[in-house]
Amino acid sequence: MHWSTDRRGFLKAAGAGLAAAAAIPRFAWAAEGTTLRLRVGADFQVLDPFGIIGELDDIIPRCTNVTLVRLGDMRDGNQWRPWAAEKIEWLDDTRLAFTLREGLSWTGDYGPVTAADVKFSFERIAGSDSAWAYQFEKLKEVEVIDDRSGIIHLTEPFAPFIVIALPYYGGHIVSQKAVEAAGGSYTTEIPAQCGPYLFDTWEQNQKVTLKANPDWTGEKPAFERVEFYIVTDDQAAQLAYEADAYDFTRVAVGAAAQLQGAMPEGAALIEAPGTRYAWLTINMNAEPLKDPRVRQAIQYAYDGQAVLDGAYDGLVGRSTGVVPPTSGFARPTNLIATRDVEKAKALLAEAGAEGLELNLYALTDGTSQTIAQIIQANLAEAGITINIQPVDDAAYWSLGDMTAGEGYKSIELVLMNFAGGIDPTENLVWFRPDQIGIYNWSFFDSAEYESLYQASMTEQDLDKRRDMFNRMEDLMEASGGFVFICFEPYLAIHDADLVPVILADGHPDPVAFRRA
Amino acid sequence: MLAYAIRRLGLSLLILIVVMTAMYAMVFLVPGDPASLALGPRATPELKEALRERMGLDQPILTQILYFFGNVLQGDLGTDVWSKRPVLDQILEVFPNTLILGVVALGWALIMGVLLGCAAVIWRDTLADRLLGVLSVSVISIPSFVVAIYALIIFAVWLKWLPAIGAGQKGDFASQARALILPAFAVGVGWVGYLARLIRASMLEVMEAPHIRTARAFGMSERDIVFRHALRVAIVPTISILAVGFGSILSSAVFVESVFSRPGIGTLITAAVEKRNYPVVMGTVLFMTAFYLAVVTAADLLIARLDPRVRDVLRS
Repeated sequence: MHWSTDRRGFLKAAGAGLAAAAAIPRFAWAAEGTTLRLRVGADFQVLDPFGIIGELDDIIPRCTNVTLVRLGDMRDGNQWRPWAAEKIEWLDDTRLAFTLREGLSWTGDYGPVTAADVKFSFERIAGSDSAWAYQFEKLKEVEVIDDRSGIIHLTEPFAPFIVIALPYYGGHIVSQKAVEAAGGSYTTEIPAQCGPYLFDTWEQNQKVTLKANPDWTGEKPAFERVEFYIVTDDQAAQLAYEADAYDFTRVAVGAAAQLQGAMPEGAALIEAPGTRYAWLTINMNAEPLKDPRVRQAIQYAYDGQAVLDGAYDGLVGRSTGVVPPTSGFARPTNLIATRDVEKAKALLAEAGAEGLELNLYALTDGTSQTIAQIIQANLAEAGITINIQPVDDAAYWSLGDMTAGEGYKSIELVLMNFAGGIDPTENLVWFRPDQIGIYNWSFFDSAEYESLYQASMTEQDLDKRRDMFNRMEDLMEASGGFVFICFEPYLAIHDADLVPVILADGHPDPVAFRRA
Repeated sequence: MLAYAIRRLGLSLLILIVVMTAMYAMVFLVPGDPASLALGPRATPELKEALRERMGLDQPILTQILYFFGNVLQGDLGTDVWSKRPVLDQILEVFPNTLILGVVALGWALIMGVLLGCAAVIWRDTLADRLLGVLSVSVISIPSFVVAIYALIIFAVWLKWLPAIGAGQKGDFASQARALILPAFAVGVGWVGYLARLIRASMLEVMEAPHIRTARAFGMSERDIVFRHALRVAIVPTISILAVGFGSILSSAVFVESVFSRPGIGTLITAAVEKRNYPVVMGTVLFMTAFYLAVVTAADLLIARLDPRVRDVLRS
């Protein structure tokens, strides 16, 4: 074959190619109109409420299964309302009666959703080794009255049960028959669904699609389809949003200033106080930190405002503990609220710990590393040398885990943050003595704390509960094992004509999304 | 030739075993407990222990290695801890995406590289040649993920011509082709410069050959000499390099797939490493190593078959 080219021919072809490229219409990645496109940070792993782990693991069952009650947007105070329950009411302090809505049915041949399914769903988690067993710590049993009615019996009064146990995670109702037929549990294939949406397709590590359930008899969701796009990195996700890859995405805290200055056209920003709480763990069991004066010196040398300005763009204030300020139960102030470098130096000198050198472990994300660097500079002013040890997710969660070796006894400083709950006990639970070597990495071991925790679970008087929580946080801070940093801000961008609903755990509730 | 082929295949097998054993050892040296990570901060110690057992992590490393190779010999690369799906199924599901990305990237890089290399020879020692030289070296030195990010910003975010993420809609060829343009551009751009330099150097050598002088003496145009006579000879060493370079193309694809959230071996292995999903990590590394060795071995055997000089060396 004879092949030849000339300059004019090449220029003509190149020009035509460029013109064609320029003429390509704005690329619409997914079907628009009745499709809701959401970005999530990771693919799902387990859809069985018994073993739910992460973000998408919980969001999908919100769509494909039901819970007795459902929470509203966290910005509106996490108000709950009946969902699968037509009626739900306390008969007394330990008995909660419910009646399921008519018309709820499982896919396949599993019939209607029954009170027996509710009993099975809750009792299989209560007292089990599920991560969500704590939700049902006070559950005695579920009594089945008839197909649609039952009574939840608690071991003792526990008013927050409705918001802790019922709306999400372990609170999702599964079909007893279907789960038993599947061998007692499942991972990625839901054996029977009953929610407003049905699981449609899964392109692993890329996309999950749900479609409207034609048999759903409840309030119709606003979108025919929901597509979840899996994009790990927040910054990449923001770029993809700007390229119209989806309608909603969380963005990095560091992007706030840039977005406030120049929002993408047709987009709106959600900037709200989140429930994720961040703090600095000081391991009082580590040799260099056994002297309480050394731990206190770190608390005095820490510059809270510098961290808030540097890592969070000043979007949030300093926290006074792990109880969310929005709960109405938070402490008014920290015991050590003002920085005092001279006092820190004096405490170190008194303890004979001049020239102290410590390791600070922090995740590799930008915010964690920024905080670590600011703390490094803060403590350097008091004469403490900090070596920052960046660790990835997998290595990080082994640091304080007693089943991963003896390292948990000697880790020194760790930057930590946990997703929070609605009731303060959901956040305070991780600092009980039995959590040492699990999630209490400070080795904070207080009998008074434990007894207050137990009392707060059953106390009905709100003022008394507040006093208990405040005292518990005083104990945490006075131990020298904690520096409270903040409740991290929640940031997301979305199409301006979209009304998103964000639940207390920071995850969206696609069923409640609608167009403005 | 047969003896050479057997030796070459044996060597590939040995490399595969060494790589996998080293990989296994490295995986266990990396700090981090997969059970803690996978189950999240609220998992109980009992649940984590059960998962470790399911992943086989409670066994001695040697036992795990032997078990792994035993299964591989039966065609079983393991099972994903979470989805319970066979690892091989997952690999085969996404591998075509990576392969297509690699082939398209290499394809356009080859075309552009050859054109620019030839242009540089035609305009040798002129300003255009120098500019092409600077341009080629510049693109070689830019990492593919940087190109990917800028390509994404310019063509997806600013101009909105092309999609920012994904591999396109299933069953929609146009959508899939559009989704391939930016990743293939990012993966291939460095190779354009490399191949252009390579072609130019080979061509300049060939242009001094007697048959080219003869062609000039017959009054053929410089362009005909370059494209019809010199290129045929000059491109041979380039083709042998392409086989080896395909490995590097696949490495670039791993990064680029992450930037564009494009399903493929890159995103599969990245997610698996992040979650310490060992069966997927081991299965994917084994598959890709085997694939790469197969490509290189095939190229070596092809060259041995085609090049009489190599045949002579083998005979001796």
